[in-house]
Amino acid sequence: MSNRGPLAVAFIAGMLMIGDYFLDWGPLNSYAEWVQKYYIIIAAFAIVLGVASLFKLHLGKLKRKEDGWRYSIVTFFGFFAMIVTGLFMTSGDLTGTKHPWNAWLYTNVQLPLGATMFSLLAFFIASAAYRAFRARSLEATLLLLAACLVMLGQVPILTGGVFESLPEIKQWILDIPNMASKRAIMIGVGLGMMSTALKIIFGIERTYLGGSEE
Amino acid sequence: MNIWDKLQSIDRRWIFLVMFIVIIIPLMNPKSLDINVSEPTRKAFERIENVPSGSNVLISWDFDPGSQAELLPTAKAMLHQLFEKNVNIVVITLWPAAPTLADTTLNEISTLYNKQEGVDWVNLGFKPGLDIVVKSMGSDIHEIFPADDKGKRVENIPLMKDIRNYDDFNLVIDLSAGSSVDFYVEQAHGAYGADLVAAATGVMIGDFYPYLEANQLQGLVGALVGAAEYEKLMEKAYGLEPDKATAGMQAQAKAHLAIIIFIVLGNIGFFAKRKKTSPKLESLNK
Repeated sequence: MSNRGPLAVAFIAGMLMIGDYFLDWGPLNSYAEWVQKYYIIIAAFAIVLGVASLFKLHLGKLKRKEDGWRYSIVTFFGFFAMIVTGLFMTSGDLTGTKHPWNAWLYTNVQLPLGATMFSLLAFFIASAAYRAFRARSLEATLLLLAACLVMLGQVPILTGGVFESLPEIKQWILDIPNMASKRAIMIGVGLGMMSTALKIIFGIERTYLGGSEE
Repeated sequence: MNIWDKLQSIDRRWIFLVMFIVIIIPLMNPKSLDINVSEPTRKAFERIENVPSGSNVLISWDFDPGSQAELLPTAKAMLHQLFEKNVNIVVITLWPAAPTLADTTLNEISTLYNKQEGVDWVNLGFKPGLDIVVKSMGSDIHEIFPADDKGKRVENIPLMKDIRNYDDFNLVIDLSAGSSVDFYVEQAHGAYGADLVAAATGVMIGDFYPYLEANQLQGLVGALVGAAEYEKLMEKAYGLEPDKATAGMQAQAKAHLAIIIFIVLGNIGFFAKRKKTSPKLESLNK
């Protein structure tokens, strides 16, 4: 009985948003724009929640002196350095991320750290590929061959003779088997999303309300 | 432990060391490789070449420093091309750590062409909401981005005066380290008919090929190799000196070869051991 209100809201909101996609009708389109603005505001709050959650997690680690608690101090240092320079410091017209101190931290700390994290992938991928790619079965062998051909076709290192056609083979793998499987996955995901959305709109799927379905 | 076991369980520190050596040497001594331009990259280049002078292009800068090694060379090459062609550029981002990177790059390249911020290009910065931001730009970009990255109201920015939605852009370019290409295909192209070109990281590129084949994307630049191909096209068309992607290709090529050699070694050990142990197993079973 008490679920009727939320179910009605979900039904009306869902139907109106579907209508906005297909119909060119002023009031409906304005309503959809209004809802979208609210979504963006809510998404901004999600960032605040994320920051609060990070703060709480590391504060707990520090209080309990858990393993690696010293790293939490570094996290807090970076956290407050960016917040203070980004929110409270001004230098003429320059505020926020344009303040020289914030920009300096971004260029000299965040940028190289981000690049470092990414570059480490090369080492871990090499180690993981070496351990995982064993031709144990027909499927594993196909995966192994496809991976090696794409890796070799991607870079112009082996050229001449039989290797001349490696880029074409790579492109064929990406264009035909890869695309066919991706399309199958995309269509499956799309149909799944559509059916879930319809189930929510029509009140068949009610777990988002919390509690039991009864 | 015999040799076959050893081949199957090389200590990962040796793998890391070999990778370090094969990457660092080419980076310290870069040589250009003979790069073949793939069809998706050529399509992207040609679509941007066809943007008329004086028209507007929207760039969605959806990557942060973590993916700059793969995407920044493409971004730079495309900015060079657009400024060469006197195309106006509007940049937005769906990633919170991206605006400063975009701003630094735009400032660096626009200076070379004497392009003015607010007149020839503008950085509208970050907005949370992902696909909803992409959808909302179809109705009114001023509502979603009321001010640029520096806080200047859009109505006071000369470039933004005649730009309201996707209809005012000749092309939308998504430089994506995530799944934002999906949002642009579904919302900007699907709902508003915007023309799209994308550049994506190596791990994501496979996901976007179906869009290219269906003409939902008019060009696709994939990973560092795509960036190197784009630099080659820019060198040919505008005499622009190849940048970091071309230099990085040699390191990537050696790294790929090293990974394949490790995979082959592991499999040699695996098969040799299986061959050795299987007769024993058969006799045990008997």
